[in-house]
Amino acid sequence: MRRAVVGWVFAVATAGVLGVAVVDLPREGAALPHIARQAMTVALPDWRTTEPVSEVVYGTRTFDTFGETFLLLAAVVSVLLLARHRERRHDYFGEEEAGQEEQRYQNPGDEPVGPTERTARAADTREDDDAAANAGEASAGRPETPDAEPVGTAAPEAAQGMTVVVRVAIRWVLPVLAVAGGYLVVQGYSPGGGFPAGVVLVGVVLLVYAGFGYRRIARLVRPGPLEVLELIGALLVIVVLALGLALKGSFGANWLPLAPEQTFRSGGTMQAFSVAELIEVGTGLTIVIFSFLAIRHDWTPANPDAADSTQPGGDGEDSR
Amino acid sequence: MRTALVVVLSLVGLFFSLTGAIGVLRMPDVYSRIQCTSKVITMGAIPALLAVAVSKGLLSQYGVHALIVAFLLLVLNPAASHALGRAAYKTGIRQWSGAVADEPRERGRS
Repeated sequence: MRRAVVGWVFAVATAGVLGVAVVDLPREGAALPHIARQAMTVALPDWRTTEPVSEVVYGTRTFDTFGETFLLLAAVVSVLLLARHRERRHDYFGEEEAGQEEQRYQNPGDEPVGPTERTARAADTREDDDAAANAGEASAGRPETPDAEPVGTAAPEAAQGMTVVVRVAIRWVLPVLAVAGGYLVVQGYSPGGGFPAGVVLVGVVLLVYAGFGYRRIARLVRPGPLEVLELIGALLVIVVLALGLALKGSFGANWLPLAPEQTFRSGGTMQAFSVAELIEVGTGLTIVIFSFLAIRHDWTPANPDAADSTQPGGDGEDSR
Repeated sequence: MRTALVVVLSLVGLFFSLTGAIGVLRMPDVYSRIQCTSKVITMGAIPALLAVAVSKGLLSQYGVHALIVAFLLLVLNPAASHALGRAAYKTGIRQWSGAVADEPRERGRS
């Protein structure tokens, strides 16, 4: 009863707020807010762009965007520091793997190994597709797709990718998303610019990861090239903005010749800044996400009998 | 004429969004709720996006953007619902006690 009353109160309140918002919407032909008028008066004569939003982000508020970019870089560096990449540098690997290396160093395998421990270790090996992907070998016992598996089994997913339904949907969507991401950054008069375009391209990478498994993109998503690319993006941002200071006397001022509006090159240094931002954001977010994915949780059930009846185990020894 | 079409499409979108929201609140288990949420996109959001495309012109900048989003939703939403349902089943989330069919399990038994 009380839940129903609370629900009604919230529903009516939300409806009221939405109603007021709709009634207060600016009508067509209404006066623009101050910032929008400022952007309109600056965008076309100073930058030759018809997209006031990009003008605000990369023109009027250059310094703000500059700060945001380097805030993101600082966040990426912090995540890298916290996600323990000190031990190995050639791929993203899990906490557990790092622990195993330390364990081998501290205690090189002289303790007795029970059947439960063996099962758990077998499960670890099965889950460990990262190492297999980098070694270029098929990981033992892990199918690439779950299509051959009957749906009725309630067990942790062993396959690396997702079902044929998801994979086909991703194949259909990927080209559209990739082109949309490119569109946001390529045209000097398209809304958005480098930041949203970078996020869209990260979405493309994540969809491939989710649908087809880590092995498919392991060659693309590597710490070495990604980190270098990200720093190149950051350097480009600095160079583009600092050249404005050197050539035109103010940080972020336009020093490129302005192409006619509504062409690919319209917008002057705005476009260059936007492209640098795309590199920085795309690589930075990919690094952050895959670093977090590397700190993953082991989903193998504590009781091996429930997960896999073909393996021996369950002698009551608690090994995990 | 065009305004009437926009109003009809918006109303269709609103109606299915509302039924989907009610369904999420009223349905007894995860699987039926997933069914309701996927309806909110397919019959709720896509008519609204079509309304934008119709009112601004199919090949205008707004119209094309709306159609691209509609296409992405149309393809990804059923796939996402499928993946959610499968993951729920795989992790052993039970069906509502009144459910009449559990096909995967029946097939597994036979």
